[in-house]
Amino acid sequence: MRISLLVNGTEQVLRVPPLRSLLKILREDLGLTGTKEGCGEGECGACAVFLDGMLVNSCLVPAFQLHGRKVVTIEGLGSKESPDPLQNSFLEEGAVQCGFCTPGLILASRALLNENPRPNREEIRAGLSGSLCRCTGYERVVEAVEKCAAASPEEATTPDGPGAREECDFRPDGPPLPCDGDSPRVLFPRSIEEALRMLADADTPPTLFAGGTDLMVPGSGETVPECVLNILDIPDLRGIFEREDLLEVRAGTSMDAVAKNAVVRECFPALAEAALSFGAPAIRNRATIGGNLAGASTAADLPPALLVLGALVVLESVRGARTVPLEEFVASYRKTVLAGDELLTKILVPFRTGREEAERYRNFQFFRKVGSRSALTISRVTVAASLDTDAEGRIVHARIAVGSAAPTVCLLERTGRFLLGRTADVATRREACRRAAGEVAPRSTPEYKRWVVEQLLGDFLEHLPGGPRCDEGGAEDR
Amino acid sequence: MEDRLFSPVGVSCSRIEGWEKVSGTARFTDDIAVPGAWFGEVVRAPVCRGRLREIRFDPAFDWSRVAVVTARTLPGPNVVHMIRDDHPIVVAEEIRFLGEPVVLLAAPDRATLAAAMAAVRLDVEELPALLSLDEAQERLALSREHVLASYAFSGGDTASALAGSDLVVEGVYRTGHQEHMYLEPQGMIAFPGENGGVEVTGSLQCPYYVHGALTKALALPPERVVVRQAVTGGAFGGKEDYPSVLAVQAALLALASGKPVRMIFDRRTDIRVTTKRHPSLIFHRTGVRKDGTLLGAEIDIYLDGGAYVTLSPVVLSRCMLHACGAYRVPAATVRGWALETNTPPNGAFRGFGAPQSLFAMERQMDRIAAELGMSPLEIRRKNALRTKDTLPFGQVLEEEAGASLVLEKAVTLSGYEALKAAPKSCRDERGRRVWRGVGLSLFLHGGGFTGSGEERIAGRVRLTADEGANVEIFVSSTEMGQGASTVLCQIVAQALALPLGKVRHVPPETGLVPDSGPTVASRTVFVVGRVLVDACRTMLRCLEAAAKKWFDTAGRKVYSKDGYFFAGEERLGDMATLLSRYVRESGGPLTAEATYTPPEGFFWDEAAFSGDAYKAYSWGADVACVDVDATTLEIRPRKVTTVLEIGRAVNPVLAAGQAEGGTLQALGYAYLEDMGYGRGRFRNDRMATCLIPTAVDAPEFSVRFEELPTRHGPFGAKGLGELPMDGGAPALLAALEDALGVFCDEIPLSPAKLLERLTVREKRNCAKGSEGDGA
Repeated sequence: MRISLLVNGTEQVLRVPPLRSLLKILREDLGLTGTKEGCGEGECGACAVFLDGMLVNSCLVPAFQLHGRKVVTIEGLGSKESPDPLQNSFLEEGAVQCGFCTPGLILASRALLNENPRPNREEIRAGLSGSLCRCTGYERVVEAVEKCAAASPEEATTPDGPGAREECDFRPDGPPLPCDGDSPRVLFPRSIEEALRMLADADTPPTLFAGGTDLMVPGSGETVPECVLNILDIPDLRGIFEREDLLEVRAGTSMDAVAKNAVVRECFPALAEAALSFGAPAIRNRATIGGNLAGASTAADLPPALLVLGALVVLESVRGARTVPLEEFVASYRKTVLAGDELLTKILVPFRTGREEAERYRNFQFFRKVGSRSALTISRVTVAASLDTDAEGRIVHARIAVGSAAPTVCLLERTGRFLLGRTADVATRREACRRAAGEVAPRSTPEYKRWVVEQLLGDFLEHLPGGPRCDEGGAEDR
Repeated sequence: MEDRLFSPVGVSCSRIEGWEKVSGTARFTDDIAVPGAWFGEVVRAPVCRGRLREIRFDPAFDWSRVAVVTARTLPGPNVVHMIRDDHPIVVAEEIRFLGEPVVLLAAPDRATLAAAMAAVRLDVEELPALLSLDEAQERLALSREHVLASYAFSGGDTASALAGSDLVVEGVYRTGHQEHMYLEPQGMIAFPGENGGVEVTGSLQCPYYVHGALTKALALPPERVVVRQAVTGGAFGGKEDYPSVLAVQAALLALASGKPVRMIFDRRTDIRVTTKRHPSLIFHRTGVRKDGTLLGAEIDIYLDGGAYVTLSPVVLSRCMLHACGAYRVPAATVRGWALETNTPPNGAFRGFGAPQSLFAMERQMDRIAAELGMSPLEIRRKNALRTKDTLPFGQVLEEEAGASLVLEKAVTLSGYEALKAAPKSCRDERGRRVWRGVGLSLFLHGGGFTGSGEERIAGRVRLTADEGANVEIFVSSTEMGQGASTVLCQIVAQALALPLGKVRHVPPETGLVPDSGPTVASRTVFVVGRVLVDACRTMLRCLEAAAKKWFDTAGRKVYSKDGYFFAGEERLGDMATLLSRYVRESGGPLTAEATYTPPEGFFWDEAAFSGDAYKAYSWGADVACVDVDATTLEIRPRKVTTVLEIGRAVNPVLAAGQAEGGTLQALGYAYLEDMGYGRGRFRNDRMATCLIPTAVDAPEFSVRFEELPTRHGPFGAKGLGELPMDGGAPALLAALEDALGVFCDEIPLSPAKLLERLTVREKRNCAKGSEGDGA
């Protein structure tokens, strides 16, 4: 297809295969080799660039999503005459060794400072967690970012400079032009309605393509789909809306938007935490909540949180819309109940507090993902819970879910039922943990996963108020 | 000294090639555009061991569109030249590891290449394979056919020492594979040269290793092979031996096709088939007095060499020579075997065998301390090597030993004793319940090649100066991120008292640069830097001789000092002025060469495995603080204090980068980096599963350098690059022991393995409890 995009301020008109990655376009078609390929699957961050002012891993962005977009690479960040202050601080602090990860690290640092001009060290580390470096041990990198921010916050932010999250004023004429022999064919619906019509009209269901953080990973699915439906750029598929008794999250909303949404953070801390535990900044900017659910993976980060919050999903087709409880959405291992012509459009999360119930009940939420490392990690076991207690501390509502501890993310229904009507005293906690451990069915390292489920649930229950805490000092020794 | 013109050694200047790297303009191998280049690929063996019956080329495919190389079409011997020539370029008949190359293919575009790859069928008979180090070690009782290398040495009467000990402590230690995970995957581009020659440009540490492999494999005279180093994105030993394999493949395809051929690995291939750190299995028996004094040690070391020899004998010898750690062991017997298994060949990796044996020794010291009821610190204080002590292989530490110095500094800086006494159960900054512990390690690392290695290499260097007094360094030593370009320039600028900006490290290219040896073994500053200083001296002598002719020196002594030339008290001129004049008058650049001169008084007996193993030792001590989440057993290194004695820190900031980066690799090695090896394959063969630490996983570092200058390095400097890799793993495991009260003797450790250990301990405690009840 023929696309037109703005790269470092210059318009580029290219004829490229639709699934060609932005990384390959930059390196091979445009000769911008400052952007590096370290893994080809969005893991190392060496290929990070700005796409409309947002940090992304260019290896995960397909050509068909680039038309009319603005890209800034390391080559567009600064020049020897007028370097970005980060380029200087990286040099001065010794944050550069082999230099292969450096362009990506500098762009990730720039993205961080644009959003947070005075980050503390912990925020710097989190901001750079998607940029792997094998040489430095990160100490000097953290120092370089810190010094740059401290030296001159105004300069450090460069609000008008490259990577600023401004509206893209670049408007090429018309849509991307399909070319003969394009493989796959790409459909560009501009509304949910149009998308549903395209789905209904297709002979074989097209592959739904949003942020691409799964689909662009080599070996992740079929080699080249016949037809792709681009759902990332449907405006009404994005956004978070506060309705009367629920929060409506459109399926195309990014993980970053979910994690940062004020209502989510206030009312659904478990969900905010889950979204924040997902990947790293560049991945969260692209990955969508709908994609995380539709993949139906047991290691997906959001489903445990959404399950305990009693979320519902809205599945739409030209035949109409149906609302399904999330626990019924995943049919089996890696399979959902989505029909070929259906689109997951909304996730509905009911408010538990803040309405008339708030007078009588208190809600407690918990989310903890345990991975093999502290960031940018696949879940080894995830536990989420949401409980309501009454004035006496009795549990009146209990939902507990686990991920990576069974073939699908699942609710621990029996454990939840057991807790109803009880207070979280030592005996109840112990029994609930025992039941939870028995209710999961992990495949790998089962002893460890059972133990973690038991410990995490115990830890959460122990923090519930209302239970008689004062008289149980030292009763448990974990 | 204040009169000295320029004194760049000890200054933390920014790295010389820094701007190219922060601006994205540095050209790594895959960044080099080569119009008309073909793409190369490898058809690989589908089994761990087997016999290749036949290669079938699908007749439906048009083979004239591609270049094909098999064992039958090689222009020279089927050998990738390394220590022993056992490593075939492509399988002729016997397959010895999964992923071993069988057919090399090149095509003008990726689509044709993929079609060609799919049109090759391998007919293979699978054979039983040897797939684990344990199995290989057990098989030693039956056969020695799979021994790649074996050495032994003894110092003192070990048997008597053990017999006369108050206590003999035994321990078995295991370490796993480790992937280098340089951010830039392996890559090589080969160009067919004129008159049948070949030129390659690639990501590599050792241009002359690659050169040697190419001349052998292609049966070409040395002058028709040129090897250039492109900007190299990390190596850590991973680009010491493997680039020879890749260069030979690319060159063969370039010659077969008559086109330039690019071979750039994707990450998955890189993880699957390139070399790894040797897994180890190490047995310790140590005799001690009740007061903690070490009396004797018996150490048996088994390394998993993988399918071919590669560098295993040298890895094994360094492993063995570091086996007693930084301690005085009056009687020691060390035996070692590198064993062949049907896994990808293991090779060089930062530390080169020492991290394995030092891990075992450091853990053994903690075990002994625990058995004696001593503190880990006390037992180290008591036994730390001192100046004039004799190492078990007979070397006397003539220069000042830094063991106690780094140990005491690390203890003080970190507040080790207070940390040790602090409560183990607490809450971290996020309010999570954690077990907190602190651990200590003490270590040493020999700089430069083992034994008479440096004498064999006889590294050569060349300097040239032009009329503008610009000096160029010609060495085969490569910049791969460690800072060689910058610190070698600092050393030369110091020796000539020129400003740093006047000195340039010429990108290594065989033929153009003399062979200063490979860029390995922490030898670039320590050995090559020293030879460069010698070359600088030659240059100074040359200018002094010229000055005698130019000036009326009237019999006064002509000499140079601090950047000036003098005749007696009279200042004749500065370095730049005299250099310029020399070049102008002689009509060409001033060139000075130097070759490594063995220092006096060192002797190594390779056959007896005894003598002076290294010309200088660097010393280190780590104090690691760890949190273990009480509800998940997730391991979080919080802070590491590392004190390294390196003679002289030529560039303190770059040196700190080495210390921090190396230490983080060592921590990852201990608790995070698990390749999921099993039955001949690495289950974790992607970056998403073969994990290395992120910025969030990395602890805070506190680095301190101590300087006990050596006579044998430039301006007193010793080796640094590998030293930080040695101490992190044992310090972290000691910290875990402190936190949880379980002794771990195996890495990589995971929360699941920790849980197993805790469960075992609990059961043991329960059993003890019930016994008590019964009595």
